[in-house]
Amino acid sequence: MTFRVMTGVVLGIVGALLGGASLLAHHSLASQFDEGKPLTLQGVISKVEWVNPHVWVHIDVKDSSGAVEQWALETLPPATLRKGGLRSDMLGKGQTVTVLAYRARNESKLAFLRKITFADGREIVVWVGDIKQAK
Amino acid sequence: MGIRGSSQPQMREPESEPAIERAIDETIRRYFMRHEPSPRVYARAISTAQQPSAAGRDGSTLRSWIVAAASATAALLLVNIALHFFGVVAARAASDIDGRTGPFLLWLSSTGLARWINESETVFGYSGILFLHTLGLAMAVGASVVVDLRMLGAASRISVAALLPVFRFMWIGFILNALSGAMLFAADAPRKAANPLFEFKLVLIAVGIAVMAMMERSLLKSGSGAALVGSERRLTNLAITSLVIWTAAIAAGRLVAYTL
Amino acid sequence: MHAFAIWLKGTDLSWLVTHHGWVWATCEALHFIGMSILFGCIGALDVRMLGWWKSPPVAGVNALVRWGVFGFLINLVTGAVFFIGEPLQYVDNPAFRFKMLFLVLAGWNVLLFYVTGVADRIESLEPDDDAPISAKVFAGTSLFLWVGVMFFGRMLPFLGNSF
Repeated sequence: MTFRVMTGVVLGIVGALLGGASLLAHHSLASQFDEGKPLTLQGVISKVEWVNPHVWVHIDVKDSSGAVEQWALETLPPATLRKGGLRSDMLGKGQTVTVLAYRARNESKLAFLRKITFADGREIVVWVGDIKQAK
Repeated sequence: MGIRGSSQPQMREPESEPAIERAIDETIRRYFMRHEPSPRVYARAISTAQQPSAAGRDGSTLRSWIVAAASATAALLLVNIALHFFGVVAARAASDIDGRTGPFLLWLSSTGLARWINESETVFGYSGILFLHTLGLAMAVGASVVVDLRMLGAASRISVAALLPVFRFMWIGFILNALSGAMLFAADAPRKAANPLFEFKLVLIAVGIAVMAMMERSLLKSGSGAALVGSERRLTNLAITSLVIWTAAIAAGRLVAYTL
Repeated sequence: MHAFAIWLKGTDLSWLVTHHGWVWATCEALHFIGMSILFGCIGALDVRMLGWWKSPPVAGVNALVRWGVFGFLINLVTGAVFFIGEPLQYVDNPAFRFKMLFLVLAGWNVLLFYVTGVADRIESLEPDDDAPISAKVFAGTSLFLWVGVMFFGRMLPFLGNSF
């Protein structure tokens, strides 16, 4: 009896590992984004997805040669952002913003939005748990 | 109600039957039965009345239809995933975050319901629906685990008949997840529909439900006796399959949350 | 507590957890699986005591409790992995604090259940026997507390600021 039960349980756990051992890196902040390599990007907002579970802000960044790069900035849910002072009406298409973001480890044009500075100088920090550490 | 013929063995002592039953029997005999039933007919009627009625159980037809629908959906989705995998259907470009843009999906994502779920900030919105989805899965998989453990030999003092009500909790959890899942899908339809991992999760759930329904049917057919219909080996295999399938479904569901 | 979290974030173990992408995803899947096993087995006993499932003898359902403990242990380990990996997103998180509170209360409930002798009283109940009121109170409280643990776990990114 016990042997069969354990077989079933072990096979179940193997199933879990098969499912979890994926090549994509996720989903703690530190495992998906590199907090040790913050980026500063300046660009024009092209699209805002003010949705659960993550708000996405898409910006067009002009690099030194004039080519436009499209960056996707992922951040926290709407309710959490609003509690921190960032509201959806503050983000409009066509606005120029400067962001401090952590680049995704998979080196794609994806980053975690940490701090956003608007053209008029207002600055809002998105804090992840450690408000005392917010820079 | 016992139909008694004078030449047949009594099925019950006359004194133990309530008087009103005897009166009904007598009335039927006198007014509706011209002859005594033949011994064979009589014996067959008695044995049918004595058998536990498996076919008459409410909902078994509904469950068969659910299993059939789930299997058909699973087959369609598997074909779709295979088409993606083998490149027959053009793969989504890596930068294409808009997902599938068919008319139904676009309409879904434009509805007030989708917007409300997406932008909700209270527990009565997205987070609450997610919680209900988690609760439903805990019920469905939890009930399945109880049944599977018993099939594999744990908690052997629970009789097979006693195990049957557990399936009800599994079905309640499944329905809760179907409803909350539909709402979660509506909130992000284009991207979810373009995600092969999401389709794979649905396939796994369909298979999981089918396996549990098969186990439920086997247990129903065995009646109240301890003997199990279908070989013990078959039920053991079903139990192990169920555990693996639900585990993989949970893993797939978690990964869907990470992939666009 | 906060200083401990900052120290923990700087350890090699924490780096290990977050450096390999598959660790977090696998642990999350296992955490949900452990939750299902726990809720299924402990819920089975609670439901038997509450009378919503009367057909088995309590001794039979009691044998499932050890599997519930197994599920709990999976979650304890995976939960520790999460805390080690990203302590800062939990330590100030009100949802996490409530989850721990409900968890401790659930443990307290289990302890009282055994210490007051109610567990022994119900052990011998046969099929279709009704459980005493004290057992029903423990069972109802248990269900409420474990659902609460699940609720606040789900609310970690919404009530608090985890990612």
